Amino acid sequence: MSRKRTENGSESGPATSHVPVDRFGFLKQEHANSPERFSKSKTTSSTDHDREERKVRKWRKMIGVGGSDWKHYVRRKPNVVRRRIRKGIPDCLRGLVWQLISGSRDLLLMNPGVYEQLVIYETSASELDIIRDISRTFPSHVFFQKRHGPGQRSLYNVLKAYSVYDRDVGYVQGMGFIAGLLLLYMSEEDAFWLLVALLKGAVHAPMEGLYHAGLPLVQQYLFQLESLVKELIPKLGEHFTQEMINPSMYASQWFITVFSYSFPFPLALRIWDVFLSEVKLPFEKLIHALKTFPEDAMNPDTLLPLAYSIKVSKRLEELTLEYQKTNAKPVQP
Amino acid sequence: MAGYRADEEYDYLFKLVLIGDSGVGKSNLLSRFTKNEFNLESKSTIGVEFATKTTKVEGKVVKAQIWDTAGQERYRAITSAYYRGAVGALLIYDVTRHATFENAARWLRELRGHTDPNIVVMLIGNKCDLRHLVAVKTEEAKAFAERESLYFMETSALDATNVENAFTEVLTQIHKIVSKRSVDGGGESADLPGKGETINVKEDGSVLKRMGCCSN
Repeated sequence: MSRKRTENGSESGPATSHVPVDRFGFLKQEHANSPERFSKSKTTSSTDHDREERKVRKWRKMIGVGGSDWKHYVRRKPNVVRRRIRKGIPDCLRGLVWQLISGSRDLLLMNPGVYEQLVIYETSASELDIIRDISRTFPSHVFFQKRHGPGQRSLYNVLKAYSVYDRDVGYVQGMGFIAGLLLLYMSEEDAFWLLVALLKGAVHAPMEGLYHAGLPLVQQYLFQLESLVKELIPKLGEHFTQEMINPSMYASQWFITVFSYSFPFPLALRIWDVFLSEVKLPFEKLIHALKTFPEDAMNPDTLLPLAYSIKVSKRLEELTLEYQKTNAKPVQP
Repeated sequence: MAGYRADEEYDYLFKLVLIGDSGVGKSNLLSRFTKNEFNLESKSTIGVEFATKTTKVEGKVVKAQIWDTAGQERYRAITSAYYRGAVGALLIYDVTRHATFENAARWLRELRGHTDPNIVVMLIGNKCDLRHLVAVKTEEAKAFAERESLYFMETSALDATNVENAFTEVLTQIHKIVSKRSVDGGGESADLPGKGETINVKEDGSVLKRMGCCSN
């Protein structure tokens, strides 16, 4: 199910044969999203390799065959699972684990044949809009680069299926980056159900408010971020106010695409690991990144551990309520 | 904002917005003007982006702060906030897609609902390099522009046709309004526009005068 990815760019990519790509499949000459600057292990030593192997073995044991032991393990040792996820899910198991922790695997099993039906038989009012954005989604990734290639076709199918599945939301620019990220780790049908789990809420609160008319959830997150910056980094908050920088200028695209649009790819992946399991957006990380910017702010191994030390959960809940109170139309629960 | 210098020297700061349907080439027009770059494989714009370019207009140093907005209808909730304080706008359509031209009227209404009546607006037919695919006749667009008192140009971000001209023309027209205002002796403040403030090109704050070098 999971696609083979190239290691360190030395082997050939799936779509084009002699283009140098990084270990995630992005073209090397592209600087946007390129993890080069941020990945520590440029030359993987044998001890690193051993450590990685051990980590994968532990994870396999925890998951069981095809995910059979997962639920049991999570129930018995939630803290171990949480700690391991925070350290980063091994890349080779990421797709499967994401499906397990988001609850999308269950949705898939409960709805056999539904995805195929949506793709093949239904038509969507958003088809032209989707097509217009297909070649503009991760254009520097080998999988999505080829016009009408398998990557672009899968992306189209998932987005079209979703726009039919939820006609209120339809298609909104930005969803493509989420679907694209998922498609690098799982099949079309799996990616579709993960998108459903995320937006409709399988094990956690639905996030479809990101894409509803008026973008209510985006507005709420922007409000929360602005409040947190003012409270936790007052000097920066003051500076932003003076220069009339409001968070919609720099953070709209972070929220609309759940960090998949412009963050360095390895960081986006680590954020997704935690985001899917802990069911909340990484406001701690944003605050921390804004605090330490620019040194090291985008290196996942530096940013994430430090970010966990910043406690914002309680304040976030209060701000959610505050936002909903001051806005006539509350965010859909 | 690393390396930002508050004392960067310019006479005026003009805020412009780029609006128009998704995929008409707003981001590429912006990168062609500010960086002389064009990218055939660019990402869709999500939310807003901005870039600046400092240029000379009628002997004055003008810094253009240009906001590039996502074109999809659903984004209006976020992007319309960026109209506030704009003194110029480029309303862009794609000459190969007639629907994007038909939507220009709606974009214009939307823009006028959020900005000062004196805002300088230029209608732009982009992608004019695709001659064999043209679906919007120059005459048709020109007539619309005249009816709505807009400036008009056809451009190609790909081969750079008229891109510099279009932006320069808009900046020049804004400067004309501003300097006329100066001669008239209208009072102006040197502040950036505040939140929620209505910007008037005649007595605005967003048309920034710097260093007092041209106030009289």
